[in-house]
Amino acid sequence: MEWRVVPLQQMNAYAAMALDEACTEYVQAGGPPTIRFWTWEPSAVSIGYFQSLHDEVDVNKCRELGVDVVRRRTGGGAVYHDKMGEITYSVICPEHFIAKGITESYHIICDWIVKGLWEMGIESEFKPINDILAGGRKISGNAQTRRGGVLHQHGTVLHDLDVETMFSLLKVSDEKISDKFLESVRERVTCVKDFREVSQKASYYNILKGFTDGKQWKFGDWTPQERARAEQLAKERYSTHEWNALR
Amino acid sequence: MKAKRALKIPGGKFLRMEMEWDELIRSVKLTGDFFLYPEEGIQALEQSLIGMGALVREEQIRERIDHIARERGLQMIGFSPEDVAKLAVLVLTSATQEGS
Repeated sequence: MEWRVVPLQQMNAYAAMALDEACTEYVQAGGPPTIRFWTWEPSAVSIGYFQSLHDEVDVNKCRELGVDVVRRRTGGGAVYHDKMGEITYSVICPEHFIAKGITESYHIICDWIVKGLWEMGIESEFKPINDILAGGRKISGNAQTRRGGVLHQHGTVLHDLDVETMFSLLKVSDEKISDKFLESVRERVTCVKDFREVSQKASYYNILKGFTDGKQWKFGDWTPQERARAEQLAKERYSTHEWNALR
Repeated sequence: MKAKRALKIPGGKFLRMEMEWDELIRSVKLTGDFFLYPEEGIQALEQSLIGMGALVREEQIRERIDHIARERGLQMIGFSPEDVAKLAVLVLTSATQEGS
């Protein structure tokens, strides 16, 4: 079956999470396997399904800076999604399209990112459980869930990095936040711009190539049903305090 | 009593557990950056410890988590029943030592 590829969009955190879920439901009902890309507007913090909102995020600081906060349906850690700093993707398809095994399927999808980075001359490798490293430093984080026979993996490729803003929003004990701490983060995390002076759009086009090479695919858009369902999910779940402060 | 402790699993994920107990464990909240499939299984996992004695041994907790994971078909990624058991005992004993 042919992949539907929804090209790069810009949207807020609630709409992004809601479209992932609406699309998952559509694929469960027989819709096409889908790959999508987006950037965040405004910048946002997402937390893993099992994380405690107030342990991980300085919610007041987010409000002050106009940064959205959303709980994902996937596990994993808290992430600061800078609107200029990353390319985010989702892969939503029947489980049997990729692989049954969790680690194996992470590896397969992450290799598409590795390929996209390679297109920019950046060598990287999949590091289980869910990371990609370039030059030994993390350049991509990924998270996966399975619902009703459908695999949903989303993740980010870091295009640019603003460690200071990141750690003003994510909670780290005050004694740890120091120049030395920020330097040590910089030693563990990297981004496309550390290797290549390219635009966010250029990063996207290369990542897109990594995701689509060797596949049957065509650009597509959301169905009216997906849009309507996503609007409902954004309103009734992802933008609510009840969901975001669930744990 | 009530306490909260964290555990960083070497090469794995970060777990935090908050518990309330008297003679028996009364409430459990397990948070962190781990993966669990299906996600809703977290409730069953937490509830499986409620009602266990506060002097429970690590091995007993591990067995309980193991059992519930098998029974519900839960897949734990980035952490294990051993880690949960170790953290639970850490919570239960640290509060006792601190007399809180």
